Amino acid sequence: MEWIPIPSSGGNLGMLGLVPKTRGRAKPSKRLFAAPAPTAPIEDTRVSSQEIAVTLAANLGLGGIFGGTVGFNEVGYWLDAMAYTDRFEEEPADGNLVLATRFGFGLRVMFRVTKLNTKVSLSYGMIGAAVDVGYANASYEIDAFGLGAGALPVILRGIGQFGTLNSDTFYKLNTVVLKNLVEYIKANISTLQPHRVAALVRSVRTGDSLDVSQPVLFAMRRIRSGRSLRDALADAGDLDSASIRLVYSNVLGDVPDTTEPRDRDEQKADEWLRDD
Amino acid sequence: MLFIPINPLLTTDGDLVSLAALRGTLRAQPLPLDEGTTVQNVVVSLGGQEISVSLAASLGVGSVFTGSGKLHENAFWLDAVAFADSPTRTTNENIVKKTRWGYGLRMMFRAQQLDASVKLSFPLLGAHVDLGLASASYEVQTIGLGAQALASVLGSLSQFGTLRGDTFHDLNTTVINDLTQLIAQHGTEFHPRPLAVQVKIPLELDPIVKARSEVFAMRRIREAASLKDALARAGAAHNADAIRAVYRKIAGDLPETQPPPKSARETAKEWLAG
Repeated sequence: MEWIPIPSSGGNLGMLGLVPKTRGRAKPSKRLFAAPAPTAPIEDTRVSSQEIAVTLAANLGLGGIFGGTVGFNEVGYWLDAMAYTDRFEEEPADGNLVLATRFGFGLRVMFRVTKLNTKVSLSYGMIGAAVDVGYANASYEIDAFGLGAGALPVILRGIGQFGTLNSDTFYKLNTVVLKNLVEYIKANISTLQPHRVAALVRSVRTGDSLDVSQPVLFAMRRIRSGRSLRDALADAGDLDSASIRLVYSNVLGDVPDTTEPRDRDEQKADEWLRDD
Repeated sequence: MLFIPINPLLTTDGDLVSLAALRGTLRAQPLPLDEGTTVQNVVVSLGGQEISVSLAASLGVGSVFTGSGKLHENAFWLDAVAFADSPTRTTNENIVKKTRWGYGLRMMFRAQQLDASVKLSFPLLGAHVDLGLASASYEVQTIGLGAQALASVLGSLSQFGTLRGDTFHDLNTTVINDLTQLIAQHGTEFHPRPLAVQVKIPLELDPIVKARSEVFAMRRIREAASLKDALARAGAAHNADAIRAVYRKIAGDLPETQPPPKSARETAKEWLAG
């Protein structure tokens, strides 16, 4: 299951990129709660920063900046600063992907970045600098949730709600706007109204379990040969280290990474590896 | 046994939504605290615990894990929380063996290794990002601390969206300190929520059990056994569905009696060589 951001305009949840094509069966529903925002107190908050494919952002209708043709050299980023509460759907209908809705208030900042120099490996922190030296073009958009009609001018103080990004704007968005938002929330917290900000949807993509089984096999072989978790991880290459840790924890118990398997651990691994 | 992080959200039947993918047909209900137990313990797991990106995504613990996994990705989580643990209780119906209740701060990181020579580790994550050796997304959550915690978290960060060495330092120092003060001042107002659980995963969903059946199937493909022969040899010792799925993935949609082609045998051989 995944938390999918919803634009403040609500309406079309989209998720088109996540919904599998069906043949001769009812399409999975993307229904959102008809119920109003909860009256229960907001208990949780989140601040996050993450990359998002421009196509997915466009399908979700996250922001106007993600519209239009998408180039291969484009990437999106979105940052959230939200206080929220989650509500489970009372009776999830068959085929309905939406399990729960997150209601909250706060700010969402989105960036769409076009890399002009394909040799440059771009990360979020480098966007401002990359734009300045001509390695990238970028645009931004800010979406407010439940802060009230007059909030954005107070928080943005002269910065546009959307536009072309330069290093100065990038710096201000990450610093000044942040401080203004803090002050605004402190001053107005009793009047802020939760809106839909995200939906929890059933995951429709299935992971390849062979990608887990291979590190499990690797870990069992290492345990049988008496190697510690630390040594096994050092030799693991591309194999999923979390799966290797899981196996060591399962066979050896909660011991330090440097602990070598005991005889009985090696025996357990040997039994697992036996071809019968 | 390790705790795994969860979202406190419950279904109307009282099951943890986070465990929907792990519980199969069983229940996943948080175990209550013993009567009279109060939230008094404080844990700050500064080491950062590693968790698979796909497991973190299936638990719905953070939107930072939304989207397809990439090669060389690691996920880490750490809690700085006031908590109390339920007693351990194992039943046949409920996969939850122990529940950690509390409130506090949870940080989650999703990092991608950009330089193959670097092994990502939690303590060096900020430095690796600074040096361009890794890229990282993060999510800072406060659970059960009320809306005022948002201002505390934001006010403690020198920058909003960037995860670099200094942000990492802010998160590990100022943010934790500020929220510790918030808990000290308002602790009596907060209600403990389910934060993490220890679970007994149903056998058919246990990745270690499933892996054994998949390894069995790969070995049979390597030795050119047909699916029919593989299933006959497996008997009740292995999961037939898992074996069928491996054959379908590696050898394609062949008749059950037809041995896998040479290309499939080579793929199985390489896979087993690890």
